[in-house]
Amino acid sequence: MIEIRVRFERREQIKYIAHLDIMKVFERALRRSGLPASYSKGFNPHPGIVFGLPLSLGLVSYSEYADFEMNGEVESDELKTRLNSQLPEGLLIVAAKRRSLKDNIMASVDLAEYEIDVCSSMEMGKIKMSGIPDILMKADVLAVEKTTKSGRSVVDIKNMIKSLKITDRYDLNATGCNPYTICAGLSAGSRANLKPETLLMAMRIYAGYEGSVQGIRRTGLFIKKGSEYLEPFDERVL
Amino acid sequence: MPVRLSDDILLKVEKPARYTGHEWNMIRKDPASVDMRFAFCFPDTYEVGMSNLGMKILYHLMNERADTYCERVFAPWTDMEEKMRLAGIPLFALETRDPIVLFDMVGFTLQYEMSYTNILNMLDLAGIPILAKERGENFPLLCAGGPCAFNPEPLAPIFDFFFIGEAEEAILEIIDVYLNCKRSKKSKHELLNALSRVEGVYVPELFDAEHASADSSTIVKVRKRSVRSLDGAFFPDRIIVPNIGIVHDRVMLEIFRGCTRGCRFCQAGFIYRPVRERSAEKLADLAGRLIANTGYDEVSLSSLSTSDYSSLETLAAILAERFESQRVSLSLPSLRIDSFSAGLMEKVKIVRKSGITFAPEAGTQRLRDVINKGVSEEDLLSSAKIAFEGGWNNIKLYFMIGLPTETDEDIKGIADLARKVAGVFYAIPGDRRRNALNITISIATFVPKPHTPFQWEPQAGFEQLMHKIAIIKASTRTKYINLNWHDPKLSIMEGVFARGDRRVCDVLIKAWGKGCRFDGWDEHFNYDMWMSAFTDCNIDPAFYTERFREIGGVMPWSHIDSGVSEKYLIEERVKAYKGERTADCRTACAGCGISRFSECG
Repeated sequence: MIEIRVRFERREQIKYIAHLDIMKVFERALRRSGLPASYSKGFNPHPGIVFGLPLSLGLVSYSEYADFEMNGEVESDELKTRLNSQLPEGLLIVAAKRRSLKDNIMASVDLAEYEIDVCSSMEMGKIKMSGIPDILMKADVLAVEKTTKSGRSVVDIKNMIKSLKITDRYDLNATGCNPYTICAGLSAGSRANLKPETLLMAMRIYAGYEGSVQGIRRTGLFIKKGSEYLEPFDERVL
Repeated sequence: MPVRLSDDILLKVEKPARYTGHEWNMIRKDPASVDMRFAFCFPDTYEVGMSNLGMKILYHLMNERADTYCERVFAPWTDMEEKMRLAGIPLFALETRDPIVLFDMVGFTLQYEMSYTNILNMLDLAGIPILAKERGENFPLLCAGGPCAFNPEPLAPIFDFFFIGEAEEAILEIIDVYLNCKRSKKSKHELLNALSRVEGVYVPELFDAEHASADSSTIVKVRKRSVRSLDGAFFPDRIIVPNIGIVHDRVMLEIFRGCTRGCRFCQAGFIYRPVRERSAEKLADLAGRLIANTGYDEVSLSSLSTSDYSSLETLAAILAERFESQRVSLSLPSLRIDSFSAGLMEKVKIVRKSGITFAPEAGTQRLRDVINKGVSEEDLLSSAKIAFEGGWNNIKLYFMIGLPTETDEDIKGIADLARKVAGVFYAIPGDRRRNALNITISIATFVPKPHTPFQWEPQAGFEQLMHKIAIIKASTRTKYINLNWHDPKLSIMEGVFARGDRRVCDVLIKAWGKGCRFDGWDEHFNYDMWMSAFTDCNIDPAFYTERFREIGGVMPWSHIDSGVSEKYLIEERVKAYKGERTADCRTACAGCGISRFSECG
């Protein structure tokens, strides 16, 4: 059994497809590639692919990860080339590396970084916008109402925002509003997961933020080891 | 020229991938390099349309021609339609996003009568005038085909021409005629005249429905088109793989066309005669290439009655062996109860996750004989036993209500059969079957269809149907039976359009104008709106559905020839009323008439 981790991009053309469907797109591409995928047992065998973190519909990402389990000798580069030839426009594997540690990417992801392009209202001037990170990071509690299948609940997301920065953005099309980019590092994965939309909710409630979203990009996934956040291709987590 | 779909629209509608195209194996051509731009329109959602085999065949067939670009169009869902109308975005094709009003030909496939309002809505969204007489030379030529085209009259004021039958060869001839006329700058009228000479083409403008002969034997008919051999006919070896889940996410292999069983209610069995098979070798080869080109993990053998395929065991064995290592499973829908065997089940890896379906159609042997569904209670029970011992515990039974000669006894027979099936399950020792049983009884309303022996029958009215459903409900109140039924009101509307004439087109247009669309969808079907459309047009739907039609009289579809003689349909009807069966025509020719035009298998 050979394990290979890949980093891939999920671009504009494919952003209209939900995560579960993207998984099937990869599965079919893998079948077409003829690579020796390893299959699960049981009535419904499916290929051994594990994805790092679901990406909501509408988001683009330059740094997604998946772990592939191969049933035979395959060079990482070969996996990358052959799979890319079968992936539709918008999906592109940019790197592939052998891995051997026990925890796969889904089990190890802890942090996701996002860039959120917004158009804030004219009232939210530069001073107000630049003050937002301080307000949120220094707050004791950031209570947000979340609606799930089981109903509504209030969650404190204070510890799930690991970093927050707001920068100017140059946007020719922004009229009647101020363009900014919010860069945020948010808890991610099965232990704790914060979506960028929820961050915006907290910004509205606690810092009076007003604005509209122009686009959201995920720019990285990270694994916590000790006190450091490592990239999934770091030798220490492969 | 292509329409602009902003994120503001796409990210605010359900399943935006319905509208974005760019799937694996989508055909890409430069529109400027072709002479014929064809918009293939499926009047339902992307997920339904992309599951249709006919569309896959014709899309890839037409695109093999260098001079033609065939693109796909589906009905936008209501949320998208609203946004399109607000933003002034016309209906566009998926491949290029070009508005279809600019195309040469726009073709619709008529799979289901209750998709007709979607056709009107799509034309309106495209900016194409609905009535043929309102379209001059500057609009695309509008055509339609598919099973419902065997009674084209309810749509005759709308389409420029219809195609009756199998289009694999004819569509290429039609394109040739179109291009010739285009090159020599012929008028629309001259073009339609030329097209009417292609076998299978029906041009309503050239048929005077009002003054047609009252004697059905002297009407000039349009005969359906059939391909002579399926092995020789085109079948794609690569098909588009949607990026989102659709109804049928698998490779569909058409193993044969037509059916020899002669069930009297079944229009498909009559209009797709004669039976023509694809050879097992050809199918195995196609399967291999399709799996390699798509990456699907399931192959489905498609036909009207798969167990009748003459080389089924051979084919199943070849496919099972070839695909075992690739973890590709084989599914066989449309297996008849009387051919379901342990041997078959063993040879084939039937996907067990979804349960098994049998279609006895009627609750008593007497009624099954009337409709010529030659399946006995013993067949059903022994098949059920095989299924239960094989690990299935979810079984679905299809029945129809409103069949000719039906009595309350027959209706009660439905629940009796279900109980007997349950009896079979519980008689099997607990360790040789699953724990809990789940029987679903699914009830559909019988809709008499053109070109069948029951084409003259009255359709049961709403009150009668609800009475029958009540009887079944009362007798199936057990924990292991789950009962569901199709809305009889929808089936009655279907009945109007199945056997309607040109006048019902007015009702269709009115109903659409009032907001009727996606009628086949529970959440959108609005019976009251339909009824008010009928009232506005001064037409009583019962006239079309409930009246007893004169045997031998002229029907709205008398000018369409399915190849089966009217004499045969009448004979079959007589036998039905006597409860007499007609054998599978493979065993003995029953003289349906198709052999006059085609070679029978």
